[in-house]
Amino acid sequence: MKPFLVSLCFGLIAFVFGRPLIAQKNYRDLIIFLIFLSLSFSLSILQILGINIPTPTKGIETMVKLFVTTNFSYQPVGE
Amino acid sequence: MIEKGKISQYQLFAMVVLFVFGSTTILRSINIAGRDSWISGILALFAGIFLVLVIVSLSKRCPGMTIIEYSQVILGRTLGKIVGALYIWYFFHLGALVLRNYGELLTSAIMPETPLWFFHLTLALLASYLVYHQLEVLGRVSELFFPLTVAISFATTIFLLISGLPKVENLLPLMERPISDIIKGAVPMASFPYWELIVFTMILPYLNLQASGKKVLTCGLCFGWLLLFMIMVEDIAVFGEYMATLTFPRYYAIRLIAVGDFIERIEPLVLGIWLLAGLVKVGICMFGFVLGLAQLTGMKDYRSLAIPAGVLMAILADISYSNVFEMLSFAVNIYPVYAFPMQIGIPVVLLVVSIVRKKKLKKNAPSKANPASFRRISNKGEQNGY
Repeated sequence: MKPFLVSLCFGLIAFVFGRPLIAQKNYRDLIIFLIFLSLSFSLSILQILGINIPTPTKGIETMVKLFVTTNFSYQPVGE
Repeated sequence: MIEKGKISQYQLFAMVVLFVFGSTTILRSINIAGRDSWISGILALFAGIFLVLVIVSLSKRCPGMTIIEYSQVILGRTLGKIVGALYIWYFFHLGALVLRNYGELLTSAIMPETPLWFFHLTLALLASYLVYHQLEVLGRVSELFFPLTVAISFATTIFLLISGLPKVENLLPLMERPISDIIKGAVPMASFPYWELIVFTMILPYLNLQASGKKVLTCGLCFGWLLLFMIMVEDIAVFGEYMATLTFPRYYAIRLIAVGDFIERIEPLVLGIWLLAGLVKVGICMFGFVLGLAQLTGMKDYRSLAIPAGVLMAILADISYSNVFEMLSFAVNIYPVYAFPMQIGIPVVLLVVSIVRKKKLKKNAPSKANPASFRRISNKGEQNGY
């Protein structure tokens, strides 16, 4: 039921925002809009189905730790 | 120009204050500087002013352009596009992180049974609505929310004082930590939120009086800092070093307010007003993201991207961390290093390159004997935005 509702919402968004772009023959904007919409639609479906999406935070953390190890956290005096 | 709106000085000022105040007020705690973190806060202000000077200097060199556009002018098309893509990612990620901050606060403090995604999606779609209606609406909304935010900040500060909770002893001894720790403590404070003002490189070209950009940004930054500084000192005075163990210190401080028998438990009202500031901050990040993307890909209008951007931001906010402690650790230890190149590294490089290139242009300026070639170089300089 949930994936169906989400698909319906995205279909509605595509119709409302895509139609004026087609009317204006603004195909460049339409293509970029559709790419973004499909990306957000696929990620939403994955989220709803409970499929784990890899988080960029882990990658960023690993990258940062490759170059520098920082600790700005609070430490009690004397430790 | 994709964005046709113009904002007034007051609107920009309100946007800067709400942006600085935004999620910082809910998360700010003491760091490696311990109870001297408020001194680190003063150092962080100078770091923020330095960024404002860099931003304004760049926008004067390339008037009417956003960072996405002038990075291509200064560094060349290919390198400029790479830099532009980095900024687009940063604005997008920043928006998602702010969403997550608010989501965590709302679930852990007020509505523990409501799923996180609900808060992310609601806030992101509201921000999408603002962005869809373009910059002028974002400016007007900031104008509207600004007095509320300021009033509630001062009111809670006064209520806490009347409640007799802040104790001067909690601020003492002064300079308990070595000076190196206090300087180190200024780094995460500058990074979050003062250096995040880099997002305003996407908004500055739309100020109605370009000449006043420096004044407005600096005043907004200083006013936002004043609010945060006041809150920080008061929170340390209330909790002392125990503040480090709290996830949302300001929220817990406000819960303790009890004036007489009638001003108590005012935290839902305060939280509501904090949410408004958060909405403006997410809206500004989203505006930077969609406008930047439209400029980078050569779109005619960015508005169609607002809703997909909101959904994507909500999803990224949802998958960013597995719990609140991971979020706090990332915000203090990883974020300052990760964001450093985008926040201050690249703008300084852009400024240096643009100064060197301008000097080269002047040096190569021909003598009176060949005025035609001088004209050619001048035109090239003008085309490059110098």
